Amino acid sequence: MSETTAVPLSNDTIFDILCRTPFRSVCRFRCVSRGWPDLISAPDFAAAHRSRHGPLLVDTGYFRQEKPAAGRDMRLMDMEGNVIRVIRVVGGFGITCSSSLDDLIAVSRGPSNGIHVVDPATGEVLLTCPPMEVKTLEVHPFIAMARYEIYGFGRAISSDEYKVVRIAKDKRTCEVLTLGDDPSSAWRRTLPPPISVPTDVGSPVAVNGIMYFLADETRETLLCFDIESEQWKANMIKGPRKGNPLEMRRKTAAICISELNGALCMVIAEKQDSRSTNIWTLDDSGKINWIKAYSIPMTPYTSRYMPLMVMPGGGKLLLQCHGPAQSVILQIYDPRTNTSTHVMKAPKQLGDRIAICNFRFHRRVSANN
Amino acid sequence: MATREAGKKMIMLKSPDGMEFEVEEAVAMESQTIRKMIEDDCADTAILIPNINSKILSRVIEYCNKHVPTTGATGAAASDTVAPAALAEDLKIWDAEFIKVNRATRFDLIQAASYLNIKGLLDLTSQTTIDTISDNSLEEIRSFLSTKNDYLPEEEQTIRRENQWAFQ
Repeated sequence: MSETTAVPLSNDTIFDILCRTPFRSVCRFRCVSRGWPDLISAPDFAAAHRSRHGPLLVDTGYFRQEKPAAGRDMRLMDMEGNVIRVIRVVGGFGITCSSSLDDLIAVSRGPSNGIHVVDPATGEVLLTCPPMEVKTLEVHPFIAMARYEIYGFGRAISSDEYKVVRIAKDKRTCEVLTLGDDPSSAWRRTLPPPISVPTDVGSPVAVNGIMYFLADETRETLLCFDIESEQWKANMIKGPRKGNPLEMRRKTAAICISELNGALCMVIAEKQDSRSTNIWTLDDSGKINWIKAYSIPMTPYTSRYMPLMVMPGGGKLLLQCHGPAQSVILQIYDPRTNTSTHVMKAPKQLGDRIAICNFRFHRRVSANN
Repeated sequence: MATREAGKKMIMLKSPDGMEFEVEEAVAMESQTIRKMIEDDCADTAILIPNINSKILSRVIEYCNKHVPTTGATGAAASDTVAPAALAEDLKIWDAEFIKVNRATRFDLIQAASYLNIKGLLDLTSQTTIDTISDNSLEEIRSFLSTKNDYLPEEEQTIRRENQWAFQ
């Protein structure tokens, strides 16, 4: 076979081929020739690549594992569960806040241990927020001072700035830090949340410039923090279910919030009647409207589901499934057949909270912290 | 324009080296580019396909012939005896054979699929190319794609360092 006569492919064709190329190879291909990084950095490339390959799944560590001296690893996976990169030592105790629109990840370093922000595209730690200073109470020297801090991370819409929100539960304070500012001095005080925020329901979720927190009390009400103006919204958003709060609480196994298709969603595991996890998405463009997007039957072996994303092509849902003995697996739920299948290639041990993150192919310009 | 019932309306495709191919309209319309021409009534006598020589054009037609939906094109009723899954499996095997061509032909097929806008053929040719080069060294990729390494040595060192993880 003569291999000498091949005509070089046009840029359009190379673009098309690169869109089909897996993340890791795309990054390697930057080194092929000068024109390629430009092609790969273009915003339309990122969009085209994402429509085929989806975003990244980020796992910051299996938190029951023994903590390695240097710190846990962060693992990046594609939608099929293939680990494409392991970033040493930047993992932690779980994910703080998640939003599929963003390309940075905030990692919790453990309860009351602060957070750090990682850029998965480069592996760099962009910001480290150490725990708040704890002054020992002289009067109660025997009481272990567990400090309840809640961290959120998200991006403001118009300024495009990433911000960390920190709520100290005991002091009822709320502070904000912009990524790129000095974490030892640049925290800004804002008003505390109008009602208190529980520490045991997972991270807040930032969607379209609003950071949502589940409120204490019913735990089905949302507090909304505007990331741009750094103000709490006066109105809270009631959850999707109607009825007697006590009755509802009795029927509920777990409630958490997440993001699906660019909308906030509330995930409610019902424990009565037919055991199922219902996923409600929030439409707050006009009047508040909850839409029951999915109702997933739960097997006796499932303790809860966490939706990660709607698969490209629509319909099917990628789920994080908490099974027996605190195991975590990835599953794909198909609403047409009402069944779930395992994502076979995913690692055996997964962290408690998998995050979804966009892979950024272009260089980051700001935030040189 | 309304789809035509029955009948096998034929279309003439001409390659720049002067060959003519008479194909069923339905087969030609696997190409979105040709479909547009037909729908815009720009295809009365023959359609000249620039840049695609007869050797490649005949292969493209072969592909379209195989992939045109069976209903209508053959005039026969849809076959209920062959399960869609089996049909898809058969097509997959056929595609795998079809794409066993040398690099130059494959590149020509990619360009042709891209120009004629035939999604299935573009998917097939591009994916095969990725499968070939994904795990290759940079040198092999450059030579495969006839791309020159125009990095200065220090530039290449920097970009390689930045993407080191992807080489491990």
